Amino acid sequence: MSYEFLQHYWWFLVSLLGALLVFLMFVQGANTLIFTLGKTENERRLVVNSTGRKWEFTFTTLVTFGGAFFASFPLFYSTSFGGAYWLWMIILFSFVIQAVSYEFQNKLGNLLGTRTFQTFLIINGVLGPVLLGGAVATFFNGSNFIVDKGNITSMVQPVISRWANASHGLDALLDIWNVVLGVAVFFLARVLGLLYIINNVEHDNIVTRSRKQLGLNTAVFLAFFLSFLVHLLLKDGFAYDPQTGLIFIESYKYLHNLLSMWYLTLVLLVGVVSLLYGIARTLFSANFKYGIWFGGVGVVLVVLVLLLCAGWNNTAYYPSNADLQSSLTIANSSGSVFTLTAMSVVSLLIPFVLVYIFAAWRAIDRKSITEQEITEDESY
Amino acid sequence: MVSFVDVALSPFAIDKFCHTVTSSWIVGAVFVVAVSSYYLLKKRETELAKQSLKIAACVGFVASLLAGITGHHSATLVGKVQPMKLAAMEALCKGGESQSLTAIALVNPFKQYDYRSGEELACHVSIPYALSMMATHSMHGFVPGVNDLLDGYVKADGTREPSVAEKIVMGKAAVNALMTYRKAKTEGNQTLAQKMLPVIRANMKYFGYGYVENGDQIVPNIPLCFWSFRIMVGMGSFFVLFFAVLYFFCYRKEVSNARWLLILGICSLPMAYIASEAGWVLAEMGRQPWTIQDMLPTWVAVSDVGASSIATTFFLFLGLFTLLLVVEISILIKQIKKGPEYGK
Repeated sequence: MSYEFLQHYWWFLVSLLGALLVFLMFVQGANTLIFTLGKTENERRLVVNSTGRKWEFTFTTLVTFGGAFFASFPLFYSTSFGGAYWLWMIILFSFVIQAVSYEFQNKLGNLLGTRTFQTFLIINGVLGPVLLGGAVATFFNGSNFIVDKGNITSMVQPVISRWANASHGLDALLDIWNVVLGVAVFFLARVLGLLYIINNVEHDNIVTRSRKQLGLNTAVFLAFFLSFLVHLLLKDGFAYDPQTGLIFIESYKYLHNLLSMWYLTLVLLVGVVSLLYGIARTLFSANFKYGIWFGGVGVVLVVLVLLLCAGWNNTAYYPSNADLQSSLTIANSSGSVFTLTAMSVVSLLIPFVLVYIFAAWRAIDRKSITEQEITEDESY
Repeated sequence: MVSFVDVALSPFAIDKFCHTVTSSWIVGAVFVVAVSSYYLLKKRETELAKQSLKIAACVGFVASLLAGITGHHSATLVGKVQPMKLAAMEALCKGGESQSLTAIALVNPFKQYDYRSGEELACHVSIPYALSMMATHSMHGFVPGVNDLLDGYVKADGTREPSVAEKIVMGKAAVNALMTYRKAKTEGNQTLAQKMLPVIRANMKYFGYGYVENGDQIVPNIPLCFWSFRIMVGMGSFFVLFFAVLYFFCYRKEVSNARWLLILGICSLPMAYIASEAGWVLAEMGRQPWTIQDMLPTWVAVSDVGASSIATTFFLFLGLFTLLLVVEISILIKQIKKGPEYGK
């Protein structure tokens, strides 16, 4: 396996994990709707218990996404996590309070009260998708950092990557297009959350309210996402010369990427159709509750294509607005051949992990979420 | 990375993993003992508490022994791989053969120990030959002290361990050669780049010393290492004895009548956490300043994030996790007082 192949393979795996993560953020989306879908304490518990059975899938995928990035493209990891420090810290804190909130909210003696912990879930539900979406948007819009590998031999400050301003990542939110994608991901998470609740909770009032919310959230999601997509296809992109490694601006780079990698365009279209079919059929067919699966597959395919467009076809996936030549590409930021090869062997286990996740998911859902279930059985 | 197997099967990694897991078993066992003791003292949930104590006594005793074995193995590996950590946790200024292990001594916990003066420790009680035995598996094995490691010494196999001053020279040579190599590569000067490679390889072992200015920088906080080691080992030894006695009472006597043992069981709970934390303090403070031994000191491994940002994050973590700890303890106390729900 050539170095180039390994770099492309690992960008594919990282993109797939990112795509799965966006799908699994239905947990966050549904949590932002706790008080909208649940009008009584028991109804809110139903919603929380429904997402509570799945939140670990999202959490572990987030960690795996970060871990895979760390191992395969360590320079991105150190540049982004060390540089865009506050952005990632806020995401981290929001996920910390989410994790404990499930466990604590209905326990005796939790001191802060159920509502506080449900509010923590909402905070994570808003911050998680908005900031992760905004962070992903920087793959196309650029960030303000400087990379100089030669600094490792500097005795004064041997730091390879630096953020070019004091905001340490929060400046990403000053770019309107980062915010647009952040908001789009937020509403996408809510759409997926609604589709999931419709599928997972057996409670007429909650399902009726979910169907009512679905149209509005879909409309807002589409407005923001399509704006971003059109902007992306028309904007200049960050390309690099594979021979020299020099990075340059190319007009319509991402449109070119979709045209030259036509198979990705096909996948993108299939993804969009699948997502829209899942939503539309749930909206117009009162008994249809499998929208989450069509929507989920659609989202995974669309996000996968977007991330592949950011890194494949000689594209700089983490562009620097502060110093163009500092931009990161899959060629200049990856681990060594040995590391990527060793990890590729380990990656052969991924299908087994996926089968395990599938089996665990089915086992978890064997008992439907009903009012009786959450009062009589082990529940949050 | 050049060998996945070396990383995955590193003896140090396997030992640390086993030591961490077995010591966590102790924490779990002590927790069960404390809750069960509380129930027996309150004369409630008697049967459940007795059965739980039996299981906890077995698990705790085995775990304490295993933690002792893995801990001993860990100390031997520390002697080989992180000799400065071993010297620091013993407050050993000048090493030598047939070294005794300090059982207790008055080391000022608030002030770095003056290792250069080599003054005798006050109230020093030691176990003859034990340090040599622990570090080298030989009663007469050589164990270097802090000053030996700073000034260089001759090892058991006759080879000489360089002084820190010599390592700094070699480290700087490696760093400078790497700088020249990178510059030459950028400018397309292949001849110069190739010339630098042997210099880098020859001095790579001490690369991290290239960023060190003086020997004091590579000596960890001796009092912290010294006391955390003794707290961990002292409490670990207590647990071996405690679980053995508990086991005896559970299987040979009526444990619910041994009020003193039940009170001791409750009092042991914080000790298990303190012992566990002391182990982590020793592991992480003893390795200072190395994030990668001899290769990467902490001040080179840092991100370019200001001290104020780090301080803010620290206090945010402190506040949030303290709040969550208080909530967690409150929930646990309520749940323990409420007791189990049988048949559910």
